[in-house]
Amino acid sequence: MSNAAEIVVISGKGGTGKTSIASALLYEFGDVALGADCDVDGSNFPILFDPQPLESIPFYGSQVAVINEENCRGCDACAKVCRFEAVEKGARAKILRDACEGCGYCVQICPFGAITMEDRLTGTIKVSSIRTGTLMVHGDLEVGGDNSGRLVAEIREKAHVKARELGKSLIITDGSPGIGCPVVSSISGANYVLLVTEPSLSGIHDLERVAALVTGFSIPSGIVINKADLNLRNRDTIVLLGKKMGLPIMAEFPFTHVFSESLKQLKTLMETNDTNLINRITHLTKRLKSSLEVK
Amino acid sequence: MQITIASGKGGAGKTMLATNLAHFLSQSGQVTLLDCDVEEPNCALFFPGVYTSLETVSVYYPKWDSDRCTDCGVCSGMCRFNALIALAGEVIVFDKMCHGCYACSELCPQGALPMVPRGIGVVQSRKTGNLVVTEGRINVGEEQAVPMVKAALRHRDPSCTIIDGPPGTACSAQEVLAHSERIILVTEPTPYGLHDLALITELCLKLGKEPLVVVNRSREPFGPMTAFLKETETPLFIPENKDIAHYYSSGEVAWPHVPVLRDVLEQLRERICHE
Repeated sequence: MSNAAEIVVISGKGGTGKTSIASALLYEFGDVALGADCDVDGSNFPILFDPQPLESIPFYGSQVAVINEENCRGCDACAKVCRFEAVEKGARAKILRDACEGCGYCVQICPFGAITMEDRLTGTIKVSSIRTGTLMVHGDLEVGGDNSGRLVAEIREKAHVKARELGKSLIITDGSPGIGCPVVSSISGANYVLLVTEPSLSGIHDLERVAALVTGFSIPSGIVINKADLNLRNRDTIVLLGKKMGLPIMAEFPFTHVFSESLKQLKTLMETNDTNLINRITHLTKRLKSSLEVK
Repeated sequence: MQITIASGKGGAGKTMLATNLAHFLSQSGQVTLLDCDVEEPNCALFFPGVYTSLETVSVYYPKWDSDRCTDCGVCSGMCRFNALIALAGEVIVFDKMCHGCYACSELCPQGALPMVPRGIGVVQSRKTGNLVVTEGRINVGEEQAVPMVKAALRHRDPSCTIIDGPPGTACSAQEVLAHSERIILVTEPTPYGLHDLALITELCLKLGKEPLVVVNRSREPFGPMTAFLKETETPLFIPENKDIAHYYSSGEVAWPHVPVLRDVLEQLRERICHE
């Protein structure tokens, strides 16, 4: 990892405005910051920034068994041990590539040495220059591919390498959704985690689950409440929940069309003429700066 | 009939549509609403009640038996997921990284790596009227959702199940889509929505399934999305409506109070039940 501080923006629940907030922060921090997109299963962070690719690195996230038909005698030894139903029996065994987990048990068991493991392309890591004058490291997962946390880990590592090369002091990372492997991979070792939520029962439920994960990592964290005025009672519940878990409310945003309208025009929130939103982002940026310096 | 509501992008309105459609259909017959968004199952929030536990879901991982181990080294370097490390005189297993292939366990000459179960979550259910809400719920910090999704899918009702799928296009989403007879994709008319809609449409077509698209929070047309949708089955549109958002936020189904949503559900029923 580089000396750059990394702020990771996540949300348990989708559609809370995570990427809108992350892109506004990246814009506002300017060229001291570099972007990283860890939402590899629906990579939206680059869309607003007109990325021009500088590097593209294939990512082989898993392996797949391959039958050498000349050696295969159709003995079914591989089919018997495979727990993933990835072998179709026959005069020559056939590997069902989508089902193959890449464990290599069949390679170990085959009496005729007829199976080998091959790297499987599961994604691409890209370094791009973006229109705000800085860089972004992002990635695409092959559709239906293994959503391995390793792709996320490698994107973040690449971002730190680039930050060191270019002397950037900050990385703004659009984290993965959910509470599984990719999000664990997005936040481990981060300097600050921003949890974006909304005052719906689903939002609160998902916040509780993802906050449990984050506090387990002891990373300084805070909450952003988006669409705060949609349901004031639930908004108050989030404030209380934050107090209970030691997570400060870093910013609140109103329920407004500006989020989706600015997206349609491919603009960050900072490039709209909504001064209320702009002031809130600026204030959030200041609070994040002081949280990072205190540490 | 097994109908999956899916979306490439989180927060597009998948759970909103799944809960409303299931509740709407349950007015005229038995319906199971199956929540396969196992990392964040939210459907049951809309239908309060007492859970009945149906299944504790376990995965199996190898547990080192030091008494049997002769330090022969066969297991060393065998695990492609780095879930097992054999050091001199000791084997360390990282249970959460294990994919359950059994290779180390079955190939150990001494039987020193027996497979043992580890709970990763539950499948549970509650009932209101004609509606059974069943969810798979994975424990926080568990990394492999696919076994959990597979377990939840075992609790489908063959007559009528509405499945709330996992978001995105990765392995757990693929698992659910592969088991669906009909796929409804929810999206929103923004560049993010379109980007992710294109990804999940590609996945559906790869699985040989033509999806039906529902555009949520629709206001004036978004040109690039209109162009994309020309190539698909005629889509349906749910207009942007703050009441729907408000009922959703309070954990209530909105269709009894919001006629425009009810209209869309009626059209959906026409489409999916007359095929």
